[in-house]
Amino acid sequence: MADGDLPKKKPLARDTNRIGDSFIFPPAVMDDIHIKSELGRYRMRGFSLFKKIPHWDDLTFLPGTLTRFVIEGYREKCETQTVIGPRAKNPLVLDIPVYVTGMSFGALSYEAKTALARGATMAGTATCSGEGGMIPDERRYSSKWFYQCIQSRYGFNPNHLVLADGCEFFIGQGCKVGLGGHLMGQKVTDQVAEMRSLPAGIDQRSPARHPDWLGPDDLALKIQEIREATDWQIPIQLKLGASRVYDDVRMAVKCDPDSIYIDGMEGGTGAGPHLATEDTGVPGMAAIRQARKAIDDLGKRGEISLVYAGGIRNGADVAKAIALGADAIAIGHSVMMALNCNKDIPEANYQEEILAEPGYCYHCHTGRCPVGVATQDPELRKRLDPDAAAERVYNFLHTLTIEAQLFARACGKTYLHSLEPEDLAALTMEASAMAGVPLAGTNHTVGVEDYHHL
Amino acid sequence: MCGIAGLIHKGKSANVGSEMTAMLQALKHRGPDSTGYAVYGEPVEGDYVMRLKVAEAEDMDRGRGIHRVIADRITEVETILAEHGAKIKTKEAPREYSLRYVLTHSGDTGEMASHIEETEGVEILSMGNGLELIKDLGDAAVVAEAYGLNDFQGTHGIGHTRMATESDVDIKSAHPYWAFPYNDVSVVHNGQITNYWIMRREMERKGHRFMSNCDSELLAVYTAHNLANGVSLEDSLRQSIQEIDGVFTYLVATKDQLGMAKDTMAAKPLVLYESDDLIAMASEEVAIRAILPQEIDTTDPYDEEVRVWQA
Amino acid sequence: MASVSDAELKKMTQEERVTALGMRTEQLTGKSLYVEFDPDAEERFEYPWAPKVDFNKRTEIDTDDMTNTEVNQAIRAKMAEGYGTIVLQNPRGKHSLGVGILSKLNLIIEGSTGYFGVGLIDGPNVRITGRVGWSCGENMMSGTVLVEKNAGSTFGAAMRGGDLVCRGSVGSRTGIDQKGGTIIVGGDVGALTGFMMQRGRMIICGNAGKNLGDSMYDGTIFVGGETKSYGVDAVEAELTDLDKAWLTRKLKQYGMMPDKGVDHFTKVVAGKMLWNYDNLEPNEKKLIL
Repeated sequence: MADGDLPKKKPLARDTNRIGDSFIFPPAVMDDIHIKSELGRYRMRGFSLFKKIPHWDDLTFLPGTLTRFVIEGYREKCETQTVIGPRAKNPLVLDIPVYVTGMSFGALSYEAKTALARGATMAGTATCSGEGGMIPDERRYSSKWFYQCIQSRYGFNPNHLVLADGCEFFIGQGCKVGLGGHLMGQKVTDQVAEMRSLPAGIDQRSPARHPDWLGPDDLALKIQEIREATDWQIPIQLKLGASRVYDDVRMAVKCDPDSIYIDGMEGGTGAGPHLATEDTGVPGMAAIRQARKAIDDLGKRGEISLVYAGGIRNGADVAKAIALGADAIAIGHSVMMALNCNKDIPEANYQEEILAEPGYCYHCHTGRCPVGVATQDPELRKRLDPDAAAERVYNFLHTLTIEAQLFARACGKTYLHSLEPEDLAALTMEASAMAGVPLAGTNHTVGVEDYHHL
Repeated sequence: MCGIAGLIHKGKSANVGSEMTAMLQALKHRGPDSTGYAVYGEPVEGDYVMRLKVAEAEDMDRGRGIHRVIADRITEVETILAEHGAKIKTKEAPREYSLRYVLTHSGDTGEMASHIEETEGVEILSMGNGLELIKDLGDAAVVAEAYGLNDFQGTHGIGHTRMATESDVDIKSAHPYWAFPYNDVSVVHNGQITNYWIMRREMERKGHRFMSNCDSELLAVYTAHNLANGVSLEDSLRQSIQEIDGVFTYLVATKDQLGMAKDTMAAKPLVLYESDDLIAMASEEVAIRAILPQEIDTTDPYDEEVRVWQA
Repeated sequence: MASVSDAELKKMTQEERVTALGMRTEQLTGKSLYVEFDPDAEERFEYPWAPKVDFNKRTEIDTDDMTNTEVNQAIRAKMAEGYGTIVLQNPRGKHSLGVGILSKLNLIIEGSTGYFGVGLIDGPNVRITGRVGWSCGENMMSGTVLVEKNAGSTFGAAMRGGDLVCRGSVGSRTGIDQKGGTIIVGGDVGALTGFMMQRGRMIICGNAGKNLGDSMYDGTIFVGGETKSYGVDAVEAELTDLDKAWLTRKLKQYGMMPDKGVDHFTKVVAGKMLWNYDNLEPNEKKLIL
């Protein structure tokens, strides 16, 4: 080193004169305010919530070691058959505990809907029509099929109702509890509009209330009407967004459905106000426990099924939800990823088409889905090969099941539905309080004296 | 979320007890949890009918000790009655936890009532010259049988079958509500009040007592408050439509009046039958048909409609 | 689905497996109801409870001691026997009477029905001599329903086709979410009539309550009397000769033609401001405050 030359020093990456960063107003919040001041309305998007909440990752299993006999994976049986609505004349009997929840034709492309139906049928499980009526090919490809009776009644047809294996009353969705559905004009094509009796190209904001019944007392009669119209054959399911879960479920039970579906705040949507997805509802782990308690308190365990949906990504989530009390699991968001959602496929150019990186796309509401799933654009739809997609859906559903079995077997169960809250421990205080299971390594359940009897 | 029913005979008494039972039984599917009646007999001045409960129905499962507790509470109530100079003319107990007194009293019944309610677990269901307020778990037939309502003669009555929403299944959350301490005023309600806690806190600041967390109780307290301040029943009903948020249809009965109010959203049903000598109303037509099998004309009141009928 | 054993499946290639499991072929026989999907295929879904009936075969059912389920089952049984004219006596406000009838039928209800009377129907002609409760003709697809007396709220909710007629007055939210067909009311209607109406037409001979046609997407409401107030995005339009001809024809069809003709009717349609709410100018957005 030459004389007088100091060694080169790497300059600091941060500005040492800066006093601090705002926690309340980080740059993203400021950007949001800037954009909204231009827009004059709330911002729409697809996907589910972005913020951190107590989630399935905050729970862990307590498998058998010495005190419990574990079941061999791949060799010994671990039954997964799941029944929705056991009281109905024709209950829905699923081979696996997971089924594909209602996503509308309109939000999803024809190819996506039929691929889901075919994948689910291969896996021995059900699909659901979603809003906007039946597309016949979906019914044809689904061996078990829920017909949704949604607030807007778009495309609702009694002739299709009698073809259904189950009727689901949509009362709310976890992602945006208390709001109606949204479908932005870009996706309301002639065909979608015709099915829904709407003018094409309008921004469709569905009602949040049913037109023909306005309270739970009327709902009890409405359920009876649907039962009359379907000759008391099929199970009737009520889909509720998770909010005042205990009271809502108690009320739902009194309306006498065959199944109650709770959608946690983790649930996704094809289009909704960003803030509604962030700030409505309660997390799944709290909702399931409350719903289970409500059904049990009214003595309807085994008569009225409990279906959970929202934020289920893998078999561990499935098993945890079942352990907390769900009888069956519905998935929407994750099965769309099996269809290619957010995948960097060769045909798609995310940066140019949607201005987002693969993995960060939440633009379902624009109808410009780069992988041809959540779109009605004929060119984009070509990017989804329905045959391959159906296979992927089947593979994913099957994987969820064997993953869930893995935990059940490790906990010594020969029947997946034998999982119980006692098989879980919480990793955070929040999860412990919400899910009503002890903090790992302790006998302490936050806020609960006896977690066996909530 | 419930079924409500009411009827009023003009200028004569009839078997209101069995008529209300028939109507409420027809509405059972709207509310399987509990049933309540507020029926009005011929008023006797100076004599008060007091109905009270000294325990909840579910308390009876607590075991032997509860019988002792109930007996103690009854003794306490009767001591307070004596302190206020009330004479017990008759005493009945249709259920161990539910009592009916006929009292002769000339002083302030309001003060006496609040003293009685200081006893733990005791709630006065109703007090008045003509009002008999009965509510218990079970359907109309069960309650009517237990409380001997099937041959109750009176001029008018309101009733309720309840499906619990955000409050519990127990007697204190069952309807009708007595407008404590306002003699002979009762309320039944179908719907929900969404500014309940704001209104309740305001009423509490004005010195009113709430026994339950059921939003319908607010309507009783609200009505009592207005009546005590000299507001007419009709004005109180009209005012409530502006001041109370949510969806509701409710009926109010006084010693000689029956009133109804429907909110601005008209989301809660009511079917109305009017003739010269009988007015009947219920959440569903099927209830009115239960007492009037012949072909009749019925109507749906519209939004913000308020009606008051005189007995 | 073709039954293939696991062992057989294992031997197959992925491509063969997909075919064997029926993923490439239709597993259920059926056809598209929408020409967009399959223009040539025949209708092959089987609809239960839609037998051929003979209008000249008439039967009466006394429903006094029956539950509504028993009544509906009796209707289906009679239809299966080929009865085309069925009279229900003493309905006494029962709920869900005559729901889900999916074929031609003359149904006469002598008396009043409760909630959801003749909801979810596709085809029958119904005459109700009494009053109907809430949501009569709910989601009806086709056919005619004639109510002689008054009707409750949400009359013709989400109805998609046919004629729904009430000679008396109707409660609130008449024709909420209406998607097609015609609703005719001889008397008055309550608040929020035509709420979120999508298509179809409504004739109100009497007065209308407040918020008429609130946030309607499309469709047309004709009001003969006074309207308390219009809802968001409902506007008056000019009554054309075509409208008058249609009104005259429809009202005459049911013997409800007012003495003073149809010239006094007011026509209400959607202002279409809410269609693409996001594209409105900022000051126009106050529409829904």
